[in-house]
Amino acid sequence: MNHFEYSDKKIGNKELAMAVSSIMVGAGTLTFPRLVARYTISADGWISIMIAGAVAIFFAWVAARLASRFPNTGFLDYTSKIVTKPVSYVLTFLFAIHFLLIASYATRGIASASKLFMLPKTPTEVIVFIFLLVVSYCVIGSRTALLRVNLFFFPMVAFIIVVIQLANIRFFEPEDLLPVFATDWPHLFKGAQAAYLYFAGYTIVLFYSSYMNRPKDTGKMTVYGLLISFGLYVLIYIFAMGILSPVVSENTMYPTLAVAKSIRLPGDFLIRFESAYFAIFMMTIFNTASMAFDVVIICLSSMFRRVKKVVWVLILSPLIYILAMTPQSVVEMAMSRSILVMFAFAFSLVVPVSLLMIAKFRGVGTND
Amino acid sequence: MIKRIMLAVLSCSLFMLTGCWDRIEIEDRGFVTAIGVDLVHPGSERKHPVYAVTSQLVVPTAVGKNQSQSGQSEPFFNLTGKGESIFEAIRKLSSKTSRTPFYEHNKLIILSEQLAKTGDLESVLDLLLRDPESRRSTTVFVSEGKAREVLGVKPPNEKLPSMYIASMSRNHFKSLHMYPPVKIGDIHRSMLLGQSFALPLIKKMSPKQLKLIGAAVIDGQDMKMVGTLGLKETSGLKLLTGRAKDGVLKVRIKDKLVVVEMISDTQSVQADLRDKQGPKFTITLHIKGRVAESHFHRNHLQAKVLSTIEEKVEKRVKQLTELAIHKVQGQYKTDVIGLDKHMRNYNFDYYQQVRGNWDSGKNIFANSQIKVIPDAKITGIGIINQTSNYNEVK
Repeated sequence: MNHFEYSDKKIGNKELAMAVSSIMVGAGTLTFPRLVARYTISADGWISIMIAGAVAIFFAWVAARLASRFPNTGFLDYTSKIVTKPVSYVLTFLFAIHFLLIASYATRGIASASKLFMLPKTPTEVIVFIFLLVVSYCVIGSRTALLRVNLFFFPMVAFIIVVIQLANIRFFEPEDLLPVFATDWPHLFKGAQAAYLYFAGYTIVLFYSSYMNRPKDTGKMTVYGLLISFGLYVLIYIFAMGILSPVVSENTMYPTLAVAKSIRLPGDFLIRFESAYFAIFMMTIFNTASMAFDVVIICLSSMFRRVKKVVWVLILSPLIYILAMTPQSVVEMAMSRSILVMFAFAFSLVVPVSLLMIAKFRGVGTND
Repeated sequence: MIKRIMLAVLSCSLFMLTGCWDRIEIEDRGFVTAIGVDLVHPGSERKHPVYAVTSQLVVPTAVGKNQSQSGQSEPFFNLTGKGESIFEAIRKLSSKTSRTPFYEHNKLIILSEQLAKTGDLESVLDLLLRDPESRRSTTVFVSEGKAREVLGVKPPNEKLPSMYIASMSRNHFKSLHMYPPVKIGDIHRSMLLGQSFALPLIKKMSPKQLKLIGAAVIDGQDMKMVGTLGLKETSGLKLLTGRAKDGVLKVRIKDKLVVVEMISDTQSVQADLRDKQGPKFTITLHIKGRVAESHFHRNHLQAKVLSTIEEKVEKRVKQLTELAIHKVQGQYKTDVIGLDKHMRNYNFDYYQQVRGNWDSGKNIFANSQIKVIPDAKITGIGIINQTSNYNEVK
């Protein structure tokens, strides 16, 4: 007889795929077209996105292979089998910092955007504080519940994103996508570099694969999840180009919101359609922040086994708050983003590949 | 005990949880539906120009009522503020009202001709693009005379002048000589690419009536208005750019009038760029139309009659477009036809070579040859053939 599906503390295939998708679709969707378009001429950024997507899919598969070599084993345990124990402690700690930065960056991102468009008088501090309260509430509960919240939120998010793009279709000017292939390769690669960051979130499989009830499918599900968010990003990019045009996207702080704002439904009855966008942004950034926060806790509690989860939440949430409030301006936000980019490249490309190679070389873990 | 403490804590938290920092009651909001910008003082080397910004605020309670009920109260009021920057001017005007002006529903921006000619358009539009309350779909007009006066018109059938202008401009497709509304977002793109563009020109005809009287030509390099296009030239420009769908053309056949409604107008451009300093462009216009009204009482089902109409339509199109080309190329030397856009899209290398010297600098645009080939097709004649056959020679 089958066990009751949701009774254990395991997650299914769908949960993992959705977790991968929704950690990628976060605060980044707001700025994505600007940060990619600024390196390329006209709409050529789609080539960059394709390159970045292909690279991400390959390395996500590598990361998933690494994790599925050690079914039901946490990151710290299997890395200490591959490399030595001290090295694995250092790695785990660095990952904790990385995800701590992601959580605080996402929190600050949504706070800045909602302050700019919806809550001009509410202090950023208050928005960040209240947002973190909700995130902490989610993180303090069960981990599987957190992942199932993704499964519930993400389809709504994806649906609204698609609807908002398509509602603009009559303003879409295909001519704005011309000329094609006008950008040279170095710039295309720079664009790809910028686009890649948005897909680097797949590293969470390194931590969540041990909760899979079918560890074998980790690779497949990671790639599925990545493909979904890749599709959403391509859609967002193409529509920003066709509706705003490349030059305007480059010069708009939040092109995706500008696209949502340009919707004009017949009859002029509903003209502030972007409020729907804000609702789903809150949801998706909530997912991103809470998962990143949760991964930090996974890392830390695997290193210090005796400390309770509640204690971690109480220690870490003020830390996230301080980190989120540290950048004082948009320029400093961009600087903290470039720190994140460095981390992301190291952790999503270098670490999984080298770990997998060492594991294969030393013959650790199950080979399939 | 614990329960009581919890109760106290929870009760206190209610103070934190009620309401919203940014709440503004809808009665306190002044919905701005139009903004007009005038130039008070053009500025000089030492002095900054001074702008006057007029905002049209709606009084929601008066909009709902009938004129007889509301008595004296108007459904809108205009406020003007002055300042060296638009932001300053807007802030100043908000000190004159009890309602907080709210720009999120703004539909129109009207710039006075004087401002467009001598002012700094990029700087004027900066705030209207930068502000989070702004909307990229807001449409922009140029007014002959003061923008403030255009907003003060009292239309007989609409309650708000802004609504009047918005609905009027929405009829642009019905008549060929009305230039279609231009969104501020599109102006942003043109400004970023340095492309010239045209804006609809509006004029106050009487205290109760406004009229769209053509288009204002704005140069893309220094962002100044270089001149206006009359009704015929505007028609020509619309035909040239393939935006004449639903427009009406009037042709004469043996002194009898035939009115053709255009069903579609598609434009295709062929560029011959062998001569770098004088490129040749061939613009082919595929126009489909139907006979809307005919004073030429013959059998319209005859191929000969239809081809005569087609010929006349082509001739008329050629005439109108040549008028437009003559004005924008010959007189203003400003490319509002969108040839630079075409080159950017299809001949990017050449575009990069001539950039900066296209319709400014060396002005290659003025030296280029533009040929128009109209190709008209009459596809329908309405639901009758002849009204009378008095003139028919059998």
